Amino acid sequence: MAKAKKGARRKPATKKAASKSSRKPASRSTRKKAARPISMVAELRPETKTAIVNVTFIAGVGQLTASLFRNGVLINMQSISNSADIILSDVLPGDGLAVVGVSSGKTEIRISVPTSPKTLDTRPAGPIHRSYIIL
Amino acid sequence: MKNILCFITTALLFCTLENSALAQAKKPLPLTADSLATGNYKDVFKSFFQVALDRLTSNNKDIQFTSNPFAIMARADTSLLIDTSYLKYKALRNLNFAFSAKLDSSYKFNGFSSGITYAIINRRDITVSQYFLSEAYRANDEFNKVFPHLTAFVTGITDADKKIKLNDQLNAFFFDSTTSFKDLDPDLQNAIREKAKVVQANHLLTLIKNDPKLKLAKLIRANYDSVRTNFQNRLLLTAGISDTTYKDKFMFSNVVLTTNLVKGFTRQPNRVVGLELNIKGAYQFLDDTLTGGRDLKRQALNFESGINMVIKTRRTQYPWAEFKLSGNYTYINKPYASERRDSVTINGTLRIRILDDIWIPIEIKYDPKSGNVFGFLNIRANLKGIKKGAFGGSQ
Repeated sequence: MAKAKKGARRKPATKKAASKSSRKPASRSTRKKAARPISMVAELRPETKTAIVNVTFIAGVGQLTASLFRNGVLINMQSISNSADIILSDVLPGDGLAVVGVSSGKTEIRISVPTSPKTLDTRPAGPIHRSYIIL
Repeated sequence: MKNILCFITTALLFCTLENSALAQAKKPLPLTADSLATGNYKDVFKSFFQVALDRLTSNNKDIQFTSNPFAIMARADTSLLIDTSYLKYKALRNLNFAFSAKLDSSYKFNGFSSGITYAIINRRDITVSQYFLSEAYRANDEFNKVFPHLTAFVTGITDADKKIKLNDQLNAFFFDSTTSFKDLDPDLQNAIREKAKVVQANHLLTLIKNDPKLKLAKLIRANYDSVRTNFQNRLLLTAGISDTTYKDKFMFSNVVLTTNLVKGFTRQPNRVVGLELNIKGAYQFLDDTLTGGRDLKRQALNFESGINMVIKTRRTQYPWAEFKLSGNYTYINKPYASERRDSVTINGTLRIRILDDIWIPIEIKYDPKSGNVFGFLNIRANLKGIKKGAFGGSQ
């Protein structure tokens, strides 16, 4: 009987704790202790750097879209329809930059950070499909 | 003078032969919008420079240089070729100017000629056409959609070496025409199948399923080229004025107002034979030598309409020969005794491209009334004068 009483006392306590955690955010100390989750959005980290993608269309017009991916997640996408600089404020080694477009003249792509394949990358007139890994 | 002419012709041929031999040693035939243009189109409107030696076998020979102001400016300052500047000079690029020296049968100077031509409508110029860009982009729509997804897949790979390797393979598959699907890493092959399903690239899925040796870069290029070839059929309309001076005085002996229209017919991009409509009109003011003094009281109206048959290679759509059949009507207000007021001729012009930049047109005119046949031999060298790579045509 005593055992049953003890169990009966415990049950409401656990329910209370569960309802507390669902309603209120965890305290600061709890957050510090938890493992850092993989972010699904871009976030500035101390080791991130800015990359400038300089695109020049020569002797013809062109259009291009640059998409930056990190661990399979799209974190930045910008399009241009004439020669311009694309500024990517948050770039980490291992990130991938997909460049897709078309030009009726020659296209020169320069990325200000080391990449594979390395730039200056000169593409002839025609479709542009290029993938760069930030080193 | 004959020796000078022979020297110029030989030097020109030698330079072009040397350039062509070098270009061929380095890479396959460069195919640009300019190289895909027909010889007839280049005679109507020049993108860069043209040196023409006309009527070499007749008594009135002609050495002509044609260019446009933008080509000369870009030669001095290649930064003008950057699209933001390039678009600003559209009007200058639509203008042609020409100078020529007339020579008699003994190659002596027989007058100076000059002229300007303006392209009122030039829908063939893909280098300024946003419509062309959107069409060319749409031609590879499925591949454009799937490509970023594949970069995303590569960034998800944790092994750094494998990441670089698969990224290189991805770039090669989309650009290198020798890389086939079966050459790719199995992981990348699976990713391509998976991402193609995600973006509903059903055509790509079918292609991969039917042909594991699929060379995607070839297909992407072919889609782009078919849009570009279709643009070579579009309308070109020019208007111009030219004049010729006397050999002993800077005074006009001949002023001609001209208009020229070129429009292609063929819609299917991979046809070996293309057809082009060419209509020319000219109104000429001439000196009447029967009256004293020098005037421009003799006038002639000239109208020519014809079909130009362009023979191209099937794979690259590179024009290598042309035959133009046309009818010509001429009306002269004050005909000389040996002339008729109205005359009709049937003309045939055979153009053979002996080198990438050199066409040899052979003109034959037949007058059905008199039964006379005339023939003219010309040489046309279309030169860029700027490093070929600057125009980004090599592929």
